[in-house]
Amino acid sequence: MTDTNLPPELERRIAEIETQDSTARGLTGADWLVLLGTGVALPILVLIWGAM
Amino acid sequence: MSATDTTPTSGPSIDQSQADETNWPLLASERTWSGGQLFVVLMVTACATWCFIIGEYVGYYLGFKPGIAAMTAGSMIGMLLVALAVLPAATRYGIDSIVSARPQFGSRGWLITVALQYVSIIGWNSLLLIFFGKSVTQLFLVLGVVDEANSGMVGPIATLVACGVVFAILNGGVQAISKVAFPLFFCIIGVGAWMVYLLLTNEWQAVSTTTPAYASGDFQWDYITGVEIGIVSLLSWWPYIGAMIRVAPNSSTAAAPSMLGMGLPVPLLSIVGLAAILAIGASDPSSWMVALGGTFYGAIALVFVIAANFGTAMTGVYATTVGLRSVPGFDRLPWKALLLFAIVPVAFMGAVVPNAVFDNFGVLLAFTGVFFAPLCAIQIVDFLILRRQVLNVRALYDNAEGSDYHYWGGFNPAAILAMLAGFGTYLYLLNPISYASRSPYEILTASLPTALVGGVVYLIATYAIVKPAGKGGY
Repeated sequence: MTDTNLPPELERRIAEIETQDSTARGLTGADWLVLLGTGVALPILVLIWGAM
Repeated sequence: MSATDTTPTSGPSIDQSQADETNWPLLASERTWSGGQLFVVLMVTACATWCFIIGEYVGYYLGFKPGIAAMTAGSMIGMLLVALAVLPAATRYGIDSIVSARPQFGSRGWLITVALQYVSIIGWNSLLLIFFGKSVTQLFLVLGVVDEANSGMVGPIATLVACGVVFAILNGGVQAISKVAFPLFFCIIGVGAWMVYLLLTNEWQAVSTTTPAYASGDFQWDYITGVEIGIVSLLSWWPYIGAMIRVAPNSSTAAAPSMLGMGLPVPLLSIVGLAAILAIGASDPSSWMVALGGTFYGAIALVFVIAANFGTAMTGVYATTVGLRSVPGFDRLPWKALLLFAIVPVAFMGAVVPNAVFDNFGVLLAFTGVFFAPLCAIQIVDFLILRRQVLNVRALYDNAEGSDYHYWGGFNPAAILAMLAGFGTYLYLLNPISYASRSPYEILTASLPTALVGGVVYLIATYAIVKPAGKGGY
């Protein structure tokens, strides 16, 4: 059984977000580039520099 | 469980201006922070006294250059884990770290993450506000407001006053943080850079030639230990980050500010602690700035420490308060009462037992690595791989038995197994108290294998147990 008794304001928010979610995107290619560039490539380069 | 047994059902009625005081999803119209705003707020959050202590810990094992490299690499790796765990869901649905963990831990199991958040942030905030009190004491001594004999009560009183000010500011919600963050930004950037400059120009010879106090003699082990300290330090951001980045409109707005605003400032400011421990033997600027720069500069440094700690503590209290909103019964409390639940333990620790927290920074770091590494991995595997970045928003707030995230009794066994496996892996690789290690720690660190094992166990358990039972909404 699922809950059908959520507060009206929460219901309104969920409905709006579910509508938005049908068109929303997840992480983009540019996001992955930023994340992996700063979280993987940068650490590797810095570690090489630090060990030299 | 009945259909009426749901946490938020009896929650307070809110209008749009109060939305950031709940754990309910923020709407697109409420998620208005720009990348620049987010960068400043995250940076102010990241820059606190713990940076000096992180630098000090790395300086026990590594010299200046490898120390900077290890801290920076570790910090960015830790930040990546936190960002991948929280950012995609938080920015897509406007939810905080705790709510983003419900799909993995279950409609009751997420209480585990609330407990982790509460203990972690209370610990960090206590540390920061105690440092705040100590810095105020030093400032008063430097300015001649009090003398040594009468300074004993200044610290606890300053801590209590700081708690009161944090309460007053946060009573205005998350927007208040943004307003306070901008003035703190210029204070932190300017004085922080100046402190590094002063330290390096005056003490460069000592900084560059001093042998680290606890260096093992095995450079690779010391180097990896520096990386490990960086990783676990940044894993501390898991409880903080969700409450901030959920105000950003999308992942693209939050990705770079998260990595560069919250990840990079920590190792950069930690350079102060690293250089100071190598050159002077003490990382706390309040103990050396007066001797190095004179009374005037010493007072400026103390003001910097006070401001930096204040900004971070404020964000921490806010994140804790939003997290507490998820606890059954707490959802009915007014915002002010929730704030008190987040602040009073900090005030108690700071005023009554300050040394209990202050002398156990290493234990706090260990706690972070042991628990948050597998937690991040579980979220990454679940949201990015298993769910392909899509959640059932209704199920996030629906505690009824048939909802997607109810699992068995509200708990997901896959998450619990993965946490236990990660916990065991970390303790096998590294004793977080004594830093005694087992191979392959000297190659892989302890946190990364812990995250890997936690993620793999979660994946296997989900395919073996959860999916065949039709649970989890996969």
